[in-house]
Amino acid sequence: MSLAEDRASVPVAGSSAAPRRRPAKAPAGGPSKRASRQALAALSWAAPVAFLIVWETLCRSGYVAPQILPAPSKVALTAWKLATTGSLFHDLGVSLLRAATGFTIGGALGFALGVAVGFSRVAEAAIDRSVQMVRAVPFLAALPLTIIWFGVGETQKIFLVSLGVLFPIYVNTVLGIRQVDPKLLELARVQGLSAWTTIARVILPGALPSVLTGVRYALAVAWLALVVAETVGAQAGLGFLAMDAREFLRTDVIVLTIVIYAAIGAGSDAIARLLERRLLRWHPNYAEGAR
Amino acid sequence: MSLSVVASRPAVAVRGLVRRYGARTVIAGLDLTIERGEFVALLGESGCGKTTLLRALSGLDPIDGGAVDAPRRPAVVFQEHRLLPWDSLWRNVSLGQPENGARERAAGALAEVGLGERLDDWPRNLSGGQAQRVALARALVQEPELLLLDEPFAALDALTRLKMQALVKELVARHRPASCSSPTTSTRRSRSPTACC
Repeated sequence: MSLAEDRASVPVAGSSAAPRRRPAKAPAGGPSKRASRQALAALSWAAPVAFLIVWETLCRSGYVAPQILPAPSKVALTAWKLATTGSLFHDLGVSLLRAATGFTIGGALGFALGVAVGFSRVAEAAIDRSVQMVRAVPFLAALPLTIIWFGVGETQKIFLVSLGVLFPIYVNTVLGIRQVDPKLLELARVQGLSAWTTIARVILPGALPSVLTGVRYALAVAWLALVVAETVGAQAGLGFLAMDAREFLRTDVIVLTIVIYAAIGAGSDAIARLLERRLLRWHPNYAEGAR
Repeated sequence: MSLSVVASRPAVAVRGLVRRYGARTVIAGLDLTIERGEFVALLGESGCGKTTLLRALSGLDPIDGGAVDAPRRPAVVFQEHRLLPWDSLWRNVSLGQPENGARERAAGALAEVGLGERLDDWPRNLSGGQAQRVALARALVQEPELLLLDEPFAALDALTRLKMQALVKELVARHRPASCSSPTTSTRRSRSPTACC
């Protein structure tokens, strides 16, 4: 094995089989590297695909009753039927709207409180202890209370989502503002920046990575809150779809809603990561090609 | 090199400056006069108060005694480049400058330090020496009456440091900030009046 090839195979350590088969003349970073990367990508999909095949086989051969767990193909068929003739998109829309509304309200409130506390010691003294005390309560424990307050309507669900979203955004906003490099604040003084310009050009951009971490975490919490709120009681939405299906032992519909929840969770995480890549282009950790 | 443009008033006049950190007196009764256009190098071992003096001159720290008469807004180049990582180079250079024509002026300053092609680049793509050149451009674009250099090249390798010192000399000669004070223990260019502390 030549030195150049040896070096080329370093970044893909662990897939030693692919490069070794290439002729010694293969250029560094050439086809051998790409081929092994594809092999790794294929390998990473092997386990999930095998899992689906085993699941399908077990269901078809009758080892698992459809009332316990439907075959993946049955779930896909149900998805198609519900999408074309049923109310799937309506329920999906209702759920998305609840999540978005709750996220916006809770996020705006958390950010506003975080900015106030981040900048002002007085605001910190006035607000922070109370917020931290409420934060110590697992917000889902408030569920029975919210049902008494708001019934099982939209308000209750949006309230619960907002409550869950508020804290991660708040905590990370405060943290981000407090962690801005004091040397850059000194620079702002030397450059003669006004208080407002210092906030806009130095403090908020410096706090942004931390705020976005909060956003990413809050998105996950928002979904968790929504699933719980919708499952306990709703007249529409994905959770309603699942609970309605439970009455008729329609496990295919229940599994479908679980898969949709998962897909939306993955989707919102992708959106958060896209935001980070866009807004934090300057940051070495989020730059293109960085992992 | 103390050729004065306006002979009337010195650029910096320090009388009996006292600076303490707690019980420790770092500067005790320092007198220092810097004429316009003068280049002063501060020499002394680390911890002797070079940075303390510069911070007093720049108004960053309060003083505990005496009087400092210096331009209200001197330009400062710090030991670290202190570029805003989230702003492009030209935005960094024009920080605190009026918006009008900021990009053009920043482009001019960056060209002077040899980075005219990198207006829209990010600070993370710069080497240590390049980052300090941008910091220098940010100081020059303010057309300061007083330029304070706080060991800006200390972290650079010897060869880069020599180049940077030559660049500073050239830029100071061209722009003539009324005075320019650079504490660095290794410079051999202290052919100008020297204040030790």
